[in-house]
Amino acid sequence: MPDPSHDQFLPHFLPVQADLRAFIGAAVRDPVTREDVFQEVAMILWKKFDLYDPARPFGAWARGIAIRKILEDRRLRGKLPECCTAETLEALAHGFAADEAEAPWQDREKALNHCLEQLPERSGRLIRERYHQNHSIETMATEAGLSLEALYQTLSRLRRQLRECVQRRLGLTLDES
Amino acid sequence: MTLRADSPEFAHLLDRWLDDSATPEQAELFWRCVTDCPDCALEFAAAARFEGLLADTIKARDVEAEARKILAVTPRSTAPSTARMIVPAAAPRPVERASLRVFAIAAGLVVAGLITAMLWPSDPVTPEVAHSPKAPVKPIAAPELPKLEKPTQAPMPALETPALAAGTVPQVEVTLVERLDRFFINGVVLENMPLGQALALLQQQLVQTDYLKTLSLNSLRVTVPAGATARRVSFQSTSIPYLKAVRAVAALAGCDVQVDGMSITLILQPGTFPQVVERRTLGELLAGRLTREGTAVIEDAGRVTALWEDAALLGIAIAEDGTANLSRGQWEALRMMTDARDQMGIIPLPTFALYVVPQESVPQEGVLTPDQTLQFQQNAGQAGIQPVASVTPNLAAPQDDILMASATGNDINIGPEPDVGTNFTGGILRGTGAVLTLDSAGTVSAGLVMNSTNLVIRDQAVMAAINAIQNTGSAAVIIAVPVQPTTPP
Repeated sequence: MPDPSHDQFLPHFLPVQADLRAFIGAAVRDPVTREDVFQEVAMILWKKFDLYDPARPFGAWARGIAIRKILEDRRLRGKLPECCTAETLEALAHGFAADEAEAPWQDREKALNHCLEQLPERSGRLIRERYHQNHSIETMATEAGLSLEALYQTLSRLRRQLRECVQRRLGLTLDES
Repeated sequence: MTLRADSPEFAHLLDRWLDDSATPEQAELFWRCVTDCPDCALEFAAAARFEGLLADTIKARDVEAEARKILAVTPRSTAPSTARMIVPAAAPRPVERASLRVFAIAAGLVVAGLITAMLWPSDPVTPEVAHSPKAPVKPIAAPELPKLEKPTQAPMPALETPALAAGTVPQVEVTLVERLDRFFINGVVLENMPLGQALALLQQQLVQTDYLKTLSLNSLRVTVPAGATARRVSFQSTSIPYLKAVRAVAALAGCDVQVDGMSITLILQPGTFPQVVERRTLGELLAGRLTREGTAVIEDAGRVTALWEDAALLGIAIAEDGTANLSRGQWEALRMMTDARDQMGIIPLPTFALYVVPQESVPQEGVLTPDQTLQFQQNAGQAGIQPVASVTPNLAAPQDDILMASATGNDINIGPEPDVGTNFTGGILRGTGAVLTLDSAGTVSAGLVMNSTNLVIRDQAVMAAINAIQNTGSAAVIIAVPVQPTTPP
């Protein structure tokens, strides 16, 4: 078995950490739990790095370990819906693997920064409240004086606009579905 | 029923899931689609990736805005320095001067903002760390506000105030700035850059080192006089507490430092800059200092060497008689580095026995559990295998041994000294290969298996033992086993 030295860990881990956090976040919606799971997965990856086979993509290996950790966490905390099983998470992991050809994270971040600059002030505030301050939809709806449904649609539209904007900036083909 | 990935129904379910508003039935249908329909899984992955990017980017933008606030810059002034930073007025000013004062404050804020914006690096800048590999990736753990505090690793005992018996003396709350004088950052390399940028890099290194968010860094304010932000500084150091690094960098830029509970304020020193250079004897910096054993530091060859090395890091040329030409700022910076070594020197570290054995007789390279360590010692005893050397790592002086210790954050880590400089920072690990972290009692019960081919080995006995094993055709490894757990004084 290959025995990669631990000094190779960070060069493998850093490029995939944001992606790994996104994968965990796709299934674990509670931000505190999500961060806990991410930290635990990162530690397992570090401890088990000797077992990593460099012939395989590191991201796929990391997601495999994350799946086990997510399921273990569900058993311990019961915060994940019952419908979220090993099979469903494997399917999501395949989705992540198939989607991996996207532009590098840094390029997308730069593009997104540009797109965020273009947002009207109110929309920018909504996005900030949702994604940085982790406000619940209910709290945001009350504060914004919107109905829940209206807020869902607003956030959904904003996400879509931003995603399309990023894709345009990156020169990717728009998915018009 | 499974939906198509491009159907509005699936898009609706996806939005509901991402907004945490899906009913159990919707969640079940959504995950069934993800499981049964690869295109749905792909669409979900793309949306989740984008959501992660969105969250990270929003947080990074907000953290950057926070950092700009933390690194407040005061307006340039030609007045004498010492009273310049004290903003609150003790008595109310005449009414007719109020509008002028408001105008002056507003103008000052504009100037401060402009200066901050000019000096702030346009892209996130990762501090250059000694010997760190240049990985073409974003820095680990984008700084986040310490909102989600979680239990942290055990604090390094020797750096904390010794616990007092309950009921004897009321506990004194340790302020953030006091904690920053015990919180070590590692491998500082600031090369000829403006003070404002240097402080921003230190700040970033602090945030990265505190990846467990043990410090309330969103409360920290570092204020820099506008007249000093463009002064260029160079500073390098091994482990040093954050506050001492700030003091050293400030001194090199001709500033004094005032601290309050949660604020660090730099003040221009009177006089010219660049500062006048004068000839001084470096040994004076060690005079009056004592080691943990109570002996004079100046008689400790290791500490004298350390002082010489620190001076070299600051670019100070030392004459054979131990004197050097250096500025007041360099002297102060060197004093901070020496203080940091004193601070580390009082930390008791365990002694390790080193065994050299064939590789096949022990688990893979890395950390042994306490049970494995005990088992190894018993097996070695039964087989008549004796340790070939013992090593006590040293934090305060340059280390010339197989095991080296380093202070990072609140932790003391012990690991093998690598033959190739690969000194990571960033939160997940430090050093090359596995490291041991002292527990809350300042001891460690785990052992370390080290590959002898990747180490600097100067000990003749160890080298001879390795050669003996290699001559039999086997690969040798070194096992470090703690033998004398020390107790805090």
